[in-house]
Amino acid sequence: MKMIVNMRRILQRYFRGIPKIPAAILVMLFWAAIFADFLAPHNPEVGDPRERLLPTVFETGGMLKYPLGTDTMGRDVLSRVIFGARVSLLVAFSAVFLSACIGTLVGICAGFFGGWIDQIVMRFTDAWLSIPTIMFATLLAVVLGPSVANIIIIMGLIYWTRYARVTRGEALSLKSREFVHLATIAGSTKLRIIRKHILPNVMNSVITLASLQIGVVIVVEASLTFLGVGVPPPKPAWGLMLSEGRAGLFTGQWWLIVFPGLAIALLVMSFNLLGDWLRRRLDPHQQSLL
Amino acid sequence: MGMQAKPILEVENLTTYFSVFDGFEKKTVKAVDGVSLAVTAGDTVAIIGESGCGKSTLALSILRVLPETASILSGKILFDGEDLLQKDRTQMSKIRAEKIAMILQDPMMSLNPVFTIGNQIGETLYYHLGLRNRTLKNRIKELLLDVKIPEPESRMKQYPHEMSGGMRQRIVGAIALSCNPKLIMADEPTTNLDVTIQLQYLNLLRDLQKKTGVTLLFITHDLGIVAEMCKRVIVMYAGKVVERAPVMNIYDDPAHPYTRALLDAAFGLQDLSKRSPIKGEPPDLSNLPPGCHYHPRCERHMGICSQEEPPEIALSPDRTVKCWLFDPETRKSELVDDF
Amino acid sequence: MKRYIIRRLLLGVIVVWIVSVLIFLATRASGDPVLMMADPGASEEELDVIRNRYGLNLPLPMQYVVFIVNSLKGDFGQSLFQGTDASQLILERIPATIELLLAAKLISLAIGITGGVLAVASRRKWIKNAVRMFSLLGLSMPNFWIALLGMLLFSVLLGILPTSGRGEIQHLIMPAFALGWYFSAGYTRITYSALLEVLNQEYIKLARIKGLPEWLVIGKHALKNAMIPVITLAGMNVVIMISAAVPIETVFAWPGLGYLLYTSAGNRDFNVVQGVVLIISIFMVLLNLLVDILYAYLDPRIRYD
Repeated sequence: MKMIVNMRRILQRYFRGIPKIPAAILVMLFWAAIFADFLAPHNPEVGDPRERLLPTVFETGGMLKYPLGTDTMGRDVLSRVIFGARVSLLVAFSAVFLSACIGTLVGICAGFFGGWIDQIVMRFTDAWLSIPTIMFATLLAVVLGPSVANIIIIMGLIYWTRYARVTRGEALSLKSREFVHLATIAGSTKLRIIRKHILPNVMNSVITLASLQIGVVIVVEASLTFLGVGVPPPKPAWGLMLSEGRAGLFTGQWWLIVFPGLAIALLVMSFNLLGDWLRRRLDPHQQSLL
Repeated sequence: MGMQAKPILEVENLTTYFSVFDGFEKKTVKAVDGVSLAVTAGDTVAIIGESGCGKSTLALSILRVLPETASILSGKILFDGEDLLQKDRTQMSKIRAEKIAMILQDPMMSLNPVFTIGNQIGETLYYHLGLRNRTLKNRIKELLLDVKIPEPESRMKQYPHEMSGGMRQRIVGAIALSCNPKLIMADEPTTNLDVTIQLQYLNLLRDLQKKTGVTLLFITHDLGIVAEMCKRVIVMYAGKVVERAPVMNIYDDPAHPYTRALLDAAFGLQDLSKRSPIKGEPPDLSNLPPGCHYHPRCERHMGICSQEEPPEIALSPDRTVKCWLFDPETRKSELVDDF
Repeated sequence: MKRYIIRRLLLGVIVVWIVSVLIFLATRASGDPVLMMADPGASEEELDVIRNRYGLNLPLPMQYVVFIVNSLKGDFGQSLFQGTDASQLILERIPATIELLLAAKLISLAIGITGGVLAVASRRKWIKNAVRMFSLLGLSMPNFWIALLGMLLFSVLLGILPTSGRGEIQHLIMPAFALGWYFSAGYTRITYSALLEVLNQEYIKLARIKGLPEWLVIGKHALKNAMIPVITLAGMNVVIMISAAVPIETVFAWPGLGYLLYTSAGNRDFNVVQGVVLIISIFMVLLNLLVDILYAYLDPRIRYD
């Protein structure tokens, strides 16, 4: 009994003040991503061509079987949207994780070791930041060929610079703090110092940055997929649904664009709001970004 | 207080408070607590006291340019007979600069870094007096010469950071004078200036007063200025006026123990901005001692001082003091603890 | 000032060099690019011609030299799809993209700054919330989705705006707005926080003491000081905006570099894609340089550092 009360208290403390609706939306979308196989009424990749371009259940011609309508190949929009959550979340988290790892590593090295290593890394980062992201991603996609793995790698490669910048700054200032001096005097190897002292302190900023980045990465992935250089068909990606549904605009099949786009918008909005909350929890002095 | 001439400024029982967040609690702090004063036209008056006694807030209240967190709770501010607290926004805007002007402490911070000083002086002329083009330019030049800044033509086009501190403060003075106000309030006008320039600046102000007959109200903790420039002194402590007197009385025979302590501490130092040569700490306005707010630091405090607030007692037609020591009734009953 | 410029120029050159290396390596990422540079179904002789022209049979460092030399000459190869010079194609498209970017930048600044000023100056809660929601939406909705919805509403349903092409101002409105909305959020936030900070300054107090009307205090004295960080952000945003323009141009068939990139990527027209990325990147470095110098010029205090 006491244990339950304790757990409850811990949960309350950690999640104090969390914005409820965005949190609920995220939970729903995560649920959809994980349990898509059970939640989606139809197969997202194979459809029935006889039932193509059916409108939503609220309009004439719509059926309850396909509540949000079907696309040009007769696939159920609702199922595709549900499975799309899996694709988007998978790609986004993987890409952010990858770029955070690379960026943090580079940034810490630059900041900690300083000197010419730092200068080189800074110029390198400047250069990388000057290259327009989507264009570079397009180039790499043309070279490597579109696939889920490739898009994750490509986005990971593009976004590491932000993490590098931030961690470098932090490492620089941490380097001159007493506990690092003490550790050096006590004979710790540089690696050990980095692992035990620098890394944990940098984590806060990294998480903050990552929370800012997730929304961006989701949108960029959707954009790249929309352009044809991201997740390839027939996978049920929201970006693909939008590019395929484009033609339907002029013939009145609005459901093909509204629902996938709405899903993206809700996901990103929830991440943004939650990220904001997270930042304020981690550092109460930081001003709300929204 | 027995003035002969009519007062140009009369403050009656003014109370201004700040809302502060102490951790999670909201507290109200009375920066100005029931303050009354009167200033005769053409006079030079000083309001003195430690930092935080409410003198700056008093000046800002008169002009009604308080920050968001502050509010005037009650009282009257009569300027030329009219209550400023009854004026609306437009009327108040007109009164500022045209009737009452103010000089702030730090000229580097009071001037906008991205506009030329000609622009910043000209603004008041443009918006208040409606001057344009050549008339405007000429008037700006005149003002610059009035405050003894040579080569006004080229100075007009310069930016604040291109000038010296003394010059900047003169610009602030020029801005204050631009619309020929009747009253100029100067909040620590020389504190941020080099010692060598301070006297120069005061002389400038004195000359300008002779020329225009403007009333000067100095807010300061520099007793040197007070001795040099002022005819009357008002002493404030923790938001209240504790003594008011002609300047010579203050120096020869200060009544209130706080005034006495100020003078003792400043003797030879001339500058009260250094913290507490006076015993004790400056009061925490959110947590004031009961009775007379000064009693914990007062060497001559009596029993009643920690219980009841003292009344203001007139020592002569132009002197008052807010202290139990001067209350005839109390003195009789507390004879034992007396000097 | 001069020393500052020279220093920045030198650094700029180094950065340009690094950019060229990065792009070079990217194009070699899958090994031998000759198959990408040639028409599908090209004969061995044709492939050899290409190998020679681009030094692809040379060791990698030499390849890089050839790459640089060719790029400086403006030779990015033939557009595999259209047969003409890639560089010519690219140059043709530049004005359209510049037009779109400028329009979007103006719209985003106008909306963003106004939003920030409103959020600070207004007493009413609903205005502040509306500004906040507007910014949030701009950040969360993918810009090409905004574009599609806009087309649905204004072109298909209402029929008042065209869906594609470039020409009159009607053609420019939707693309510029769809592109600019995202960025206005950043400007709103910066204007808001910069204004708040500025409004605490002594010179604002003096401006009020001078009896200036409140709109002048905020609109003149506060705003100009608050603009400095906004301009910095605007400069940094240009790179992102160029990237963000790609899907917008695609949706509206706006004849700019983004659309060119899209069609070329679809056609596997490697030379054009490479050329676009290279040109834009170099341009970006130069632009950043220019912004730095401009910034030093605008804020008279920085110059003397």
